[in-house]
Amino acid sequence: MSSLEDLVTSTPGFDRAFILLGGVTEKGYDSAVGRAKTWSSSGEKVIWFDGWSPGANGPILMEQGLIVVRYSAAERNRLPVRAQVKAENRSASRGDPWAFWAKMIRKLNTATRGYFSWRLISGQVRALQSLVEPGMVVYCDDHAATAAWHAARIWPNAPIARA
Amino acid sequence: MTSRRLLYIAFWYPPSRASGVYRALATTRAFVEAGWEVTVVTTTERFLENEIGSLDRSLLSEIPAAARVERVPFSFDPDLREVGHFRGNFPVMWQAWRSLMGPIKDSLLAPITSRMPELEESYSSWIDPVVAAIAERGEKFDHVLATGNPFSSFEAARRIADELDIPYAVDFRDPWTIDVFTGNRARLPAGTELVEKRIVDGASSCIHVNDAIAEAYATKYPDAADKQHVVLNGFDQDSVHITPATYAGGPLRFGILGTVNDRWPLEPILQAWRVVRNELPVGSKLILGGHLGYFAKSAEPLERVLPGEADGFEFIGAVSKSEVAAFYASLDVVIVPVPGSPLVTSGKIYEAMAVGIPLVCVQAEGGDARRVSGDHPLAQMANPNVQSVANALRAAERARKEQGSDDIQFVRQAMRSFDRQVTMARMVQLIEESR
Repeated sequence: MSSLEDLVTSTPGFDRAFILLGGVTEKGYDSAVGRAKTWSSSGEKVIWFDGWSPGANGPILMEQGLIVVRYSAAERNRLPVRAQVKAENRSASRGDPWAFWAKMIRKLNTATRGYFSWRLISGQVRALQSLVEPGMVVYCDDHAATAAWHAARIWPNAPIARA
Repeated sequence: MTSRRLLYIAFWYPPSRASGVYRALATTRAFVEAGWEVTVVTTTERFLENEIGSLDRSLLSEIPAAARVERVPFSFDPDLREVGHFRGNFPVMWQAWRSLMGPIKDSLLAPITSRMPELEESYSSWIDPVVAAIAERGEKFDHVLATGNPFSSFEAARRIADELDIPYAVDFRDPWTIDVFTGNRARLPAGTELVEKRIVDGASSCIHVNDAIAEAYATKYPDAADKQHVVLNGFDQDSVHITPATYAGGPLRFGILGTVNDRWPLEPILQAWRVVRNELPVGSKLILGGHLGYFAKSAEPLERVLPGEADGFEFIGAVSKSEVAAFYASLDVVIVPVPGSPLVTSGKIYEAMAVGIPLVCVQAEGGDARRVSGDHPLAQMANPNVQSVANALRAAERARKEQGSDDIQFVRQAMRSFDRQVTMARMVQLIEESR
């Protein structure tokens, strides 16, 4: 599988690509799909970081100048996420004492999810710094706001907006 | 004669389809027609499209060609470049912390903050860019007029007027610190009342949409009682320019037009319709036209409560401004649902009154829409309960069958005084008198 840098440098037009931070939720994914379609149909090159839809992790060059970087498997393999799933399963089968822990772990996970899911893609995003001057950076859910905040520091002149 | 220059601050302006847009358009039109040079300050299409999620581009053609429109960006989302490390890295945790600490801070600091005029509302961050944009233009104006909500427009008007040393007026489409539904004090952050008082004290005129709100403000601010004026909403001639035909027999069409919201007494209307429907000619329909809610996300839950075709109900979706007259002319009876309160009139009541066919006003007793339409010869009043609405629908049906074309013309003529051209002339007069 080619690296993201290879795909960006070997495909013409990606130096001004639009960056879509799709987030890790279904809502974020839905709104990213809409945004990717709009941009692709108007001929823009798009790099979409998708932490929701299942599939092999890593960058794939899709048709119409769209690179999708999937990281949902890595996201779901994070320790707090696995701990949450485990606690929720136990709470469902064994009742109350686990319900409390499931709730606490879920809250902690929700509160920190933006930061830790950013860590999963930060290397790839930072690698784009010298290759791409984004036409725009759009983030699609509350958790992706962390990645967008870092993107704003990486590309001080890029417009940043929420989908 | 040198032309007079008005700076008009209207956050909701085309292509927004918010309910306040029509009054804002009518205000612009009235000043342009009275010979003023009008500059409108509003928000951007991008905000309406991305964050509100709905707009109506057909409304852009309603803006008078002579008016200039300056769009000042606004966003509910923060400028990420201004955000610190903690909030940037943990936005969800920051939001949770803020929600937890906000009320605690408010209650601890209430003794101090309630004495500080500080405006805290979702749109406050629009004030500085508006003031800066106008200062940057270095242009001269003779008067500032702002329409609210959002009431941040009022504070922007006050600050600009202060800087340019010109008078300002404020058009309250809704009361600010008075709850429009209860008439009690609205629950707002500490300090808001002082901001309102400062704005009211400094304004040349405070304009309201009905007498009840003007009186409530006169009582609240006795020193500014003589500044409280009423400019009724009225109807746009474009919305009623087609004269309906007389009833020629066959199925009847009852219609409701407007942006559906959860304050409407829709449930008793739908239930009453189910009761009365079987007494009407076969094929009679209840037709609902309009958006479902003001935001894109409001549509789905509202759509779920609507009946289906089997109930003789038809939801036709949004009706663009250019199709409103044809919609009304296709009806036999207009139904106007209005939340109940002496402070609530609803702009739609004026349109319904001007069409010339029977109307049913569904509002709790004491409501202002009932007062306004009370003298209308074809109006039926209904309380928001099934029996009362059903009786009003039956009475409206009888009235429709009995009315001749002369009756329709008579009603249309009689309602001319509510034409927006007439009502808005008062707005222009108030501003001209205060120069």
